Amino acid sequence: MGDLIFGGLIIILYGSIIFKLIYNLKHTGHACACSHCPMDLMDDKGKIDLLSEIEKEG
Amino acid sequence: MNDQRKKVEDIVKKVQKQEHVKFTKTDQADRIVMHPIFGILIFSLIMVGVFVISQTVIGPWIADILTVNVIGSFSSLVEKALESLDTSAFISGLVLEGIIGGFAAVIGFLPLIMVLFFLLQLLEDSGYMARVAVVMDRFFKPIGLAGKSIIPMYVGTACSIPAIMSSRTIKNEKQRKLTVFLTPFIPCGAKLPVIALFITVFFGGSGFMTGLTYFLAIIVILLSGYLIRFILNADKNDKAFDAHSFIELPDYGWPSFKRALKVMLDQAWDFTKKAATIIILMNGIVWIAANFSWSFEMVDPSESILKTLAQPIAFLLTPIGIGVWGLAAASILGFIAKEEVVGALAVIFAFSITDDLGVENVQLTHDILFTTGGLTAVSAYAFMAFNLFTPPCFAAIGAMKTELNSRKLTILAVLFQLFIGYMVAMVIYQVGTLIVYQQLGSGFIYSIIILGIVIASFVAIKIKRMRVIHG
Repeated sequence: MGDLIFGGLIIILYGSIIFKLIYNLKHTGHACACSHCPMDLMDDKGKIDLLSEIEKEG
Repeated sequence: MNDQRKKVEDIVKKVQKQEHVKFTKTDQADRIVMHPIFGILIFSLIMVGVFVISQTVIGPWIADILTVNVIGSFSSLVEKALESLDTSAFISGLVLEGIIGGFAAVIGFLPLIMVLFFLLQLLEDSGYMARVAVVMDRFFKPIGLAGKSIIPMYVGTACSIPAIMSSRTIKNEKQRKLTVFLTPFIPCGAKLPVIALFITVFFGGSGFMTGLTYFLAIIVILLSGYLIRFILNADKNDKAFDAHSFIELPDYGWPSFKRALKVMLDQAWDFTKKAATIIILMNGIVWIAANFSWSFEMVDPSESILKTLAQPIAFLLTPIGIGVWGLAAASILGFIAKEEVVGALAVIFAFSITDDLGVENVQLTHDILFTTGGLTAVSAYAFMAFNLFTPPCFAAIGAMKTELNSRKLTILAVLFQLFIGYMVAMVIYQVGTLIVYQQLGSGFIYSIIILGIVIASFVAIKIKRMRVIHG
């Protein structure tokens, strides 16, 4: 019973962590997810278009 | 550049009328704060004060109230639930030692880090940190770094990624690349739990020792800069070594507590997110690798998968005093995220220091790391230095690649940082063991051979470079 409950919780925990990391990787290009990281603003060539970022912010 | 400046100075002398200049209070304060000698002394005193307050006074006090009680209560609650439900050793171990234990070891130091960032933000807001840039500029310029290099270095105290990226503000290409090479030597927020753990366990949480570690980082940057200059045989007339810095000095002012609080909470949130994702995932994998054999049976850690993988690397680390597989494994895992060094150590050596930062528990952790890990105060400091000065996490290496825009240069930077981290740790361990314990450290002969090879290689490279330059 204990193995089933805690085993299930571990699977849910690790499943959601892996999902979150892959989601970050797909959307930002890196797995860590610090707020205001300048890496988030870069395109594939490593360039930052600050103007479009400001426009996005409104 | 020098000729142009001389011409400008001559013209200015001819046309400028010198009038009696009245110094403001800010000017008078700046003359002391930015003085070549007093400036360094004041900076040292302030930083030691910051570390004493964050590491020994307020930090542990908040840690006791928030983290220790919350994590301790949660851990014992889960333990009771696991026992009452008669859970298997595998699930109990994974939950208590792998997930909660590893997470707690990292997150337990969060209050100390929060206080540190709060105080640093107060200093920045007061206008003092800009003055530090002027003080440091005198030391950075001779090695070819720009005065602006202080900005990435300061940003680097929080995270190496934005620090490396902020080197974009440096116009001179050589200075910019050198800044990217050297910035990761500044201990980032992720390395703080490593510093906090070893300074707490082996040096009684001394704020002075933490301050000394940051000064060691500055010395490593300066020596590394000189080394690069020596290898490249840099010309003294090179623009990179003659560039002038223009640093805007804000007025002194009362810092904003609200802003400092916001910065502190932002940092804390980022730190918690990382600990709750990457660190928990990694600690689980480490626990399984440290408790299972290749045939996937639960075994003693000394027969585990992790030991088999880490043992060859541990042999290479003998000259720096950490020839134990558990320490080697923690160092390697630190490349994923530096906080993981502490998480992995807690999982491999099964200690729970952040359950209680009291004297008894600190002594218990010391005894575990001393007997199982073979760490003395000197080798613990060497291990800490190795983890601080070897390449940063993979994400920061990615940022380095983007900024250097060259795979070859990135590999060179990583190898250079690996070399510097190894050499610094080796010197600390071998010289420290000789001075403190009056005996030779393990792998002493190997370290002499390594040192000989390194010196011979540098001399050979220097001669080759000079031959190329002089045709």
